[in-house]
Amino acid sequence: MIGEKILRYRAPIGIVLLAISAYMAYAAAHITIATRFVDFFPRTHPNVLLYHKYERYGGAQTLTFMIEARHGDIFTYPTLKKIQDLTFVLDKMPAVNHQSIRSLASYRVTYAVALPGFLKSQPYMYPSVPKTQAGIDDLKREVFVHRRDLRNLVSPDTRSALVTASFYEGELDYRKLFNRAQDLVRQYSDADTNVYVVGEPIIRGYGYYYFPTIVTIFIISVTVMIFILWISLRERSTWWTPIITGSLSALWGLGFVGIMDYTFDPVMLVIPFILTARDMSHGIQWQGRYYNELDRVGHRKFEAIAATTSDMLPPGLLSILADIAGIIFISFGGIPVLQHIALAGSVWLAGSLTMVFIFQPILMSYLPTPQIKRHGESRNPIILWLKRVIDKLVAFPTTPGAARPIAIGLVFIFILWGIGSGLRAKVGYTTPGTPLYRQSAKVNQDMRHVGEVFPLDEGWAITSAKEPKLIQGQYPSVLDPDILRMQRDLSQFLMLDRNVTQVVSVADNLMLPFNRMFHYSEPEYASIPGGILDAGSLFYLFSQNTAPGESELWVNDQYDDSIVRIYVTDHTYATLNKLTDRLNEFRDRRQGWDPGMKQVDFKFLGGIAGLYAAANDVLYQLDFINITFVLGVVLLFCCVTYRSLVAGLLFVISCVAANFGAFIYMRLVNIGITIDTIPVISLGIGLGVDYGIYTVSRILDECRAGEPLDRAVTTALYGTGAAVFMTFATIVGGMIPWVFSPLLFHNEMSVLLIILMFTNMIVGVLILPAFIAWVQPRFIFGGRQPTPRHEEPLREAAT
Amino acid sequence: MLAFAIVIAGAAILSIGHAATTGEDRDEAGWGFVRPWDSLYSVTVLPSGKWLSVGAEGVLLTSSDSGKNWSRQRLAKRGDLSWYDLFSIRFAGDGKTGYIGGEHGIILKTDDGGETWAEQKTGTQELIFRVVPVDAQHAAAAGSNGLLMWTEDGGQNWHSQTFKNGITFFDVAFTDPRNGWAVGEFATIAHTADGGKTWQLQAGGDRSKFRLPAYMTVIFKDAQHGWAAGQGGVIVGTADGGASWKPVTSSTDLALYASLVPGPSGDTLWVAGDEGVLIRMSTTGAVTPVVSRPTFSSLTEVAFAGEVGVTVGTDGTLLRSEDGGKTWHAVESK
Repeated sequence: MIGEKILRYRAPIGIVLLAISAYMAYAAAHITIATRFVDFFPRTHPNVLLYHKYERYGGAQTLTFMIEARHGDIFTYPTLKKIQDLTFVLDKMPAVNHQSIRSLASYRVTYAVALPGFLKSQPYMYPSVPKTQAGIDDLKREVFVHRRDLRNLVSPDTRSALVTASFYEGELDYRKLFNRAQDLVRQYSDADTNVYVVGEPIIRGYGYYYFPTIVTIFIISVTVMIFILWISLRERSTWWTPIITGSLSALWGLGFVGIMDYTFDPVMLVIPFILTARDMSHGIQWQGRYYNELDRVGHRKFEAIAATTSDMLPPGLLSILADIAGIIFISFGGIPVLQHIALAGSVWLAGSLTMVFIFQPILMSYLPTPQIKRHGESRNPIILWLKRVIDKLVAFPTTPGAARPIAIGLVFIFILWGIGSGLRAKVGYTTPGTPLYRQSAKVNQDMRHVGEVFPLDEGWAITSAKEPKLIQGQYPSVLDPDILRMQRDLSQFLMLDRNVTQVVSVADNLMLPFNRMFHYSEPEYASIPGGILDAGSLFYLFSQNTAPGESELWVNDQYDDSIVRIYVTDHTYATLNKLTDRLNEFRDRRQGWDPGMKQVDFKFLGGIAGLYAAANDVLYQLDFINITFVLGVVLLFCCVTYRSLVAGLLFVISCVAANFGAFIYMRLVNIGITIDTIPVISLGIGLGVDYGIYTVSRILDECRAGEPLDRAVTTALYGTGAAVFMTFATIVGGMIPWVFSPLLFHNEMSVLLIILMFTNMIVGVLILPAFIAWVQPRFIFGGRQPTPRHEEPLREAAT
Repeated sequence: MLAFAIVIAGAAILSIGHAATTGEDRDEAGWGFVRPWDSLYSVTVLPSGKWLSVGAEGVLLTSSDSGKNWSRQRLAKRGDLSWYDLFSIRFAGDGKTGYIGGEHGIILKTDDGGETWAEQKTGTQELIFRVVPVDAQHAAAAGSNGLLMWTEDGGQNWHSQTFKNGITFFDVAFTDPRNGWAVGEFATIAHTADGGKTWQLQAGGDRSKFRLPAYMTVIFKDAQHGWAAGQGGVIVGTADGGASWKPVTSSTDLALYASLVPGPSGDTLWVAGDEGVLIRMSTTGAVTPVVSRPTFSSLTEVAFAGEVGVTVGTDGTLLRSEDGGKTWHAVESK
């Protein structure tokens, strides 16, 4: 028996495992708690590659301040001064991309005036704010005249203005940036002015803001789990053992994170918590079985340990393999954060296998034989009532009549409902803002408020010259008039979608206005230049009259790529899907005839909108692949373990029945499959199938020992069923505090997991045994002839 | 059976007509006949009371109810999802013959008051800023890089020449089939006495004098009295057929590029331009020009039919007046 072998070599094995744990503890101490935004998107997706290639032209780490006049408009000296001050403050902040700073007070935001004989380019409000009313009126007039160019900086009602800046993620300290941003909001808000700050750094920064609360919830959850552990195993003196093995498993997982130099996102803290809960539940299962064996063999410790290990290892191994399967396949999508969670989670769970099924027996072998601390039946009326309820539930699977077929029929209806919900599952974000936090949270309120006035998301289409060259040694071929016209037509086409608020390109925002200004401000000259020499000359004129590096926002420094920026109202799945469809349509309709399109590679979608669209592309397929593989693994392992295809199929169907309820819940509360939700869904699938595995394995053991099927089922339910219930209680009890987390993500995922654990328990402990008792599949008898049913009273197994 | 066929045919025709009105884009619904990003460059009104306006990306707007409601279509298609810009629309006195000029050497002609348009061969790809019909057979055109064109056969054949130094001309005006004036950059004013075949310089024409303002619009009340306006708010007038030009007070320094047009009363002219400036001036010089700013967007043209006036411009600007230009209101785009 494997249990005997482990005990024979318990010393060296134990030392090796402790040494590994010590090393893992050292590695875990060097974990970096941080957020890397780009890790949330599929690394090799064309959108993500496009984003990285043009990141320095305005990445996703953009901070947006909105200054809003409470009364009147922004054209008062105090408000204009605030805009200027904030602009200058942002320019001094660490990790800022100085070329990205935009506001009315920025020297990079200019307009051109055509005067007889020359062209004058000047900023709106730089270097100083107008102090006289006449000066302010002039500024106001210029803003009105150029309001289309300033659409992203001044609201149409002129009550609000933006100050924006992008940051280099590699140098960014989210916590410091968040705190500084909040300081600035407080500093510049007053009786006349509201200040809001939004952007991805703020979303991620709130994770650090709430980190103490999250840690508190984590501690409460662990405390609850330990309390439940004590309740379930307190009758013996060594009830605390699963805490040790659970903690050591956690060290292995965290140590792996440290060794691989993954960053640890505070928002994702719920994932390691779930894994920790899972570790403890395995430990509880093992410990409970050990106590059963002790009672059975008369408190001969080593014999009981060996028997427990030998009996628990196969289902334990199967169970943990199912857990790993539930998480490992989410790494397939190429999204780094999911890959990290998948690999670290797999090591975490593998650590659980080692700690619970190898180290825990070794530990128990060194500890004194657990003594029974409490004797006799409880006389508590609640406990007595509960026992009556449990008796009725345990009797259900073996009670002849209509109840079982009806229940199984209802389960099949539930399966169909779940499959239907799964096929119609929404992908991506379904509401503006971030689903990490509640809609009433400040971060979403601010995003909603700013988003009503200014677009917050930006996507890029790149026209990349197929044969880049400099005409006459100085005019980039990407400025060919046919290409410019294509950009202009694209802009008009995209603007018909009301989710697109503005399209900025070298054609619309540089060539047309400059061509007009260069030709006496005659509006009809706001057209595409006649030839590349004209276009190149205008671009040269522009670059000579603007700040250094400004021209690179339009055409890259190699002069082969021209960027079209598309501003959209939000990054919901519907908006991004429509935008991508429109871009595809434009390209398809122009491919055959457009001389501009023939000269370029038309690539999209870059920018932050492109990142979210990339995730949407991958997530639906990833979810489908993940579920398919998990079910495949369950099928394979169960077939092998029980040497029966029927067994494998039975577990697959029970898995579907129990876990597709997740999709029903998600549709009811309008949660989509996102980069935030998919790891939790995957874990839930893997975790819950264990209940059925443990229960059916116990039934199998009892049948092989010669028990009639009905009695085997009853024994399994009283014995393993009780342990399964304790597992359920441990995980659910630990998840309940997360329901009250300030993060909506934690709230929804904890509720989802509680539902999954419940449905899995019902299916694993009641429905599956009922089906087995009713149908009597051959595999359950392990090759023996089925023993006829007995009419004797059911006996309880000691727990 | 015949009635059924008629109903089906009628439905088909209506659907085609609807498609022509709504254009090429599926998402046009909900935007109305003018969009916030439209640039309208020219507006005119026929003796029948029909209003027409053209603009960027082939837009043609028409109204049959004094400019209150308009319908939209596109002309001058370049390819799928692409149209050429249209700069001017003008009709002859018969109200039937009309021309549209645009970029890429485009001239479109109508003989039925704007119901249908046909493209004409011009042999050029220059920007044609103005096409002016003199009568049913004679018309002239002005454009970029010295382009001056004329036709004597209703546009079947267009003749063109490049004026000296390639000076761009923005407007042309004729008082009869022979006498016309063209204005352009570097304060250039040229005159023709043979219907556009030859042109003589009356003012400007020197590219080295780059600080001189460009003239963008010209109008002649008769063979002697005319006005030109342009960059920097400059207005000049002549009382001797262009032999000499004197400055006229405009009270603005903003560019005036919308065509000088007669006002509802006989002795007024209207011109418009940059930043929404709109000027009503007296042809006699008796009163100081009245300057108003009904909008901040550039106004490109204004036209009157009695007391009703319409002015168009960039950023989807379409304003209407019912009191001879005293007050203006935006036309609601439905």
